[in-house]
Amino acid sequence: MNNKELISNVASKMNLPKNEVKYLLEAFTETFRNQLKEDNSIGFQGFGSFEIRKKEERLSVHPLTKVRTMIPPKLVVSFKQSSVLKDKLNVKF
Amino acid sequence: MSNAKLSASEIVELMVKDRMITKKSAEEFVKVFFSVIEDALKDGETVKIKGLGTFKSQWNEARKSVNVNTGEEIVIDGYYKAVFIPENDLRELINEPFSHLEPVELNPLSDNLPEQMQDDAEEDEPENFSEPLEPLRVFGEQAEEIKELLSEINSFSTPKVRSNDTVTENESSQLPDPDEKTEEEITLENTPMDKPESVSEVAEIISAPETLHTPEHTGNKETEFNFDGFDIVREISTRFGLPAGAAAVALINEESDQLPAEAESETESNISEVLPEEIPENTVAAEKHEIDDRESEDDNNDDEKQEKFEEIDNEDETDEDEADDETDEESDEESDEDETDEDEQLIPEDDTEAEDGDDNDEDTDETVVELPEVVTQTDEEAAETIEADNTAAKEKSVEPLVAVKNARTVTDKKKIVSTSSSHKRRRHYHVEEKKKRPVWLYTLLGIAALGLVFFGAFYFVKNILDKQKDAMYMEYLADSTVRALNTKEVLDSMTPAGDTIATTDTVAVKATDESVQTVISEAPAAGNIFDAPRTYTELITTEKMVAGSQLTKFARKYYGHPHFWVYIYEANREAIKDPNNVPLGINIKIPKLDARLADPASRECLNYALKLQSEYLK
Repeated sequence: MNNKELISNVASKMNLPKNEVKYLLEAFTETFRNQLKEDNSIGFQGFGSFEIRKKEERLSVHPLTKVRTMIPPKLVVSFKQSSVLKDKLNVKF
Repeated sequence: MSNAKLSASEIVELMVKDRMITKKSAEEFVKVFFSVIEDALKDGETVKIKGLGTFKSQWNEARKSVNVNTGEEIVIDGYYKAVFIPENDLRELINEPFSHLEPVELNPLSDNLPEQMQDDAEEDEPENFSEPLEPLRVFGEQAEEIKELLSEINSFSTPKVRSNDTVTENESSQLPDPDEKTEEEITLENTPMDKPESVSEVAEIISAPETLHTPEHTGNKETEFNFDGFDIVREISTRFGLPAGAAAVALINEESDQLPAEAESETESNISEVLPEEIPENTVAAEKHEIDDRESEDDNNDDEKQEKFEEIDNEDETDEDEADDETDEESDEESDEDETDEDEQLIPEDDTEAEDGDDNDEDTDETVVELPEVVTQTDEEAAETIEADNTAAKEKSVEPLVAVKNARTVTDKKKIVSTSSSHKRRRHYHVEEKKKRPVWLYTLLGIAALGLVFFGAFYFVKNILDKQKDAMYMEYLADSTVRALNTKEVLDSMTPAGDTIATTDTVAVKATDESVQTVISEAPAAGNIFDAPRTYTELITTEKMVAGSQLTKFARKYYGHPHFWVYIYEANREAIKDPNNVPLGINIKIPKLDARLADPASRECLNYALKLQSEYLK
């Protein structure tokens, strides 16, 4: 499902025009990104939580060439699904 | 605002802020948005959101684990997991603080390290190989060192021997000087001064009886010397009531480093005084039968000893100064002299000692023979007693000599026999070296012995380990039918008895039979499952094909692995003509499969499914 399909899906469920949903989505993504950028973690109940994690610098050695490379630290977005979502995804049939 | 935990409602508020959006619509939007994603994930779809990233559901395989508390093995069922993969755009945005950092190749290290690692690897192996050889090499080195030492000792021994002659010469030149003393006095002086040497020689003789085959010392004389030395020791120790050898040993250890010069001067002064008149006496005394005659004299001498010791002390002190001068002159000359006179001197001197000691012969003969160690101890006692008579400084100086001589007896026994007591006396300018060399030698010999022991232990342990390995290998074999056959062979070779062979044979045959049976029973079963025509009579359920539905998803859902979609396809052959293009809206029968056929954990099953898949997708 791509962005367009998502918008149409949401629009059909909310009974709203697509362009309005699109605007809402843009507003949402913008706030979402800004908050994440400010190192805030965001939790959505029943779905999961997003947070920024710092991956520490590390030394990697190429197994063949034995070239040692220092990998710098970096910040990544991590998503952890909530147990509710997990249960929903793993419904027993 | 950093590090805060935001909830959906807070996000909504931020969303609404500064935007033409009602809070209500925003709230509803967020709710619907996630529910849509959820539904999509439930259907196994991936959801791509512009500016955020991709949500998808990931299948995590079932895996085995262990209950930490009980140690029980448990199986964690496979499950779907919603994962979020952020867009590159978002990733870069988030990583902005560290975006300037780039991976750095550690060049200087990277050049060296691989080589080092390789070197290490190379070094490890040779080291391993050389380990068993290491003790041998060390031992060889030690052997060489010992050889060198021995040669050194030999080279030293000759100058020492020569020194005797200078002594005698010097003594002869100085003979007239100390003539004031009576014969008795001289013998008295001799006894204190000669005792250490004679005693040490006694110790030598006792400790190394095999080596004593020099012409000067016939067997009888040697034994007599023993007695004499011991007697002297006994005599003096009893007379002066001095403490046991332990104290003497301690003293020697403490004082061995001190006052070598004094020792030199003292002994030499004594020599200069004593020897001239002593020699004639000694020559007479060398014959054994005469010794008995002199016993009475000695008794008298002994009685007088105590009285005259004080006098001697005084004289010795005065003589020291003279002696110092002498030693300086002599030390240069000594090395050039011949050895010839030494032997002559040796015998007479020893005999004088014999005279002194003969008093107690009857009492001590047996003890001496039986207890060589006692003698050596008493040597030290004697040394002490002698020294007790002299001034304190002189006491100390004599002890190192005795100690050195005793120590030397062990290391170079041959030379000891040939060296005379007077020559020993002269040797004390070597005291430092000699004192150290035995210790050095002992340590080296000790190290060599240790090396040998370790070497032996190493191979002993290695043998044991090898045996254990063999045993373990045998045990391992024992678990298989192969082992049964092997043990049969082994037992055949090992046990000649026919009965045991027969029994082992039967056991082996049984074992092989059983294993073969099990293999056979398994093989056809497995073969049946894969080869037998599959009939899909029992159904778990039916699924309706909708947009996004895939056979692989059904397979994953019901059989635990997408590869098993082929069986669903087989069960729905009539409805599905092309597995790549399943018509929508039809009901898919999900057949019940044999657990052995569709076991996601079995590689065999998966491979078979893949084989079928490649057939159907041609």
